[in-house]
Amino acid sequence: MPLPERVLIDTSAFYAMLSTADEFHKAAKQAYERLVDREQELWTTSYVLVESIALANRRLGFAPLNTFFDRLRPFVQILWVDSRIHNEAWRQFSENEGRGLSFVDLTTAVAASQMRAHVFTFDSGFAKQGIPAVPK
Amino acid sequence: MVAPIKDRMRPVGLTNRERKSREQSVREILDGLRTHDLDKERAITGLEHCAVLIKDDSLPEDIGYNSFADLLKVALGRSVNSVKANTTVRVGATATEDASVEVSIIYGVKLHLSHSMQLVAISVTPHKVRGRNKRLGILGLASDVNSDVARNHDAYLAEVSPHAPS
Repeated sequence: MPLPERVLIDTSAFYAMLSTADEFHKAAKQAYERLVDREQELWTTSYVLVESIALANRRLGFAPLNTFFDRLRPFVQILWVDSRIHNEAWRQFSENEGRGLSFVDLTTAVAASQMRAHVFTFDSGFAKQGIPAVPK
Repeated sequence: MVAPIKDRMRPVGLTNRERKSREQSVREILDGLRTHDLDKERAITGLEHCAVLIKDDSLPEDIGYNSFADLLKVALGRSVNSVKANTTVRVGATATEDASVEVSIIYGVKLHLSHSMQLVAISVTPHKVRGRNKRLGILGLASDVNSDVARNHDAYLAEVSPHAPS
């Protein structure tokens, strides 16, 4: 499958990029470098941002989080989750009775599908749901 | 046994045999780089193979930025970092052919391929080449004490909000 023009970054990928100790850091670095070099449009969602900020602030502290998002802001676009995405994700979440992908992950999956984007993630749940993921 | 078509054909229509042949050729050319035994023509051929394999989404992961930068240095006669103005260099024997496909190989450097997948031009946008490091500046800014946070971020998030129902 060819790489799409757009890639949506999820919380696991953000965290793996940020923390050098993470088991996925090397893979995240390599994948991100490739995305940059292929000049692909990088996106994330407002819900992923909320999740990532909460996680990084708690575990790493505000200073690295602040630098991370300050540097990221000029070239990662934000998709603001609207009621259409939210409601469709909730419909799927209810259908699964809360099992499988988390609600935030489902909003990412719905957004990726609408944008025809791949998801940059280390959560195998996306691939299980048939959502194209980076790295492969 | 002939592989099913879906396995043999990728986006640019390379067969497995063509894919392997291009990969092997790239590796031989990169070996030439290491032994300083590489001329401009071979470097251009190497870049052409890389571009086609990238378009095919089958370039091996171990072939990356350093290899591309070295090949470009031989092909252009100078490092991409030393290019000061937007530049397009026509290359190869097919320089009269029009480019129909472009592949971004390094941030700020595009390879232009003809309809028959031959490299016809290399373009460099210096301000983007310089901007690459800025984009990579988000990597590795901190170190968690745990190594499984990305994998288990939902569980760690539950710790952030301990009163949330699990």
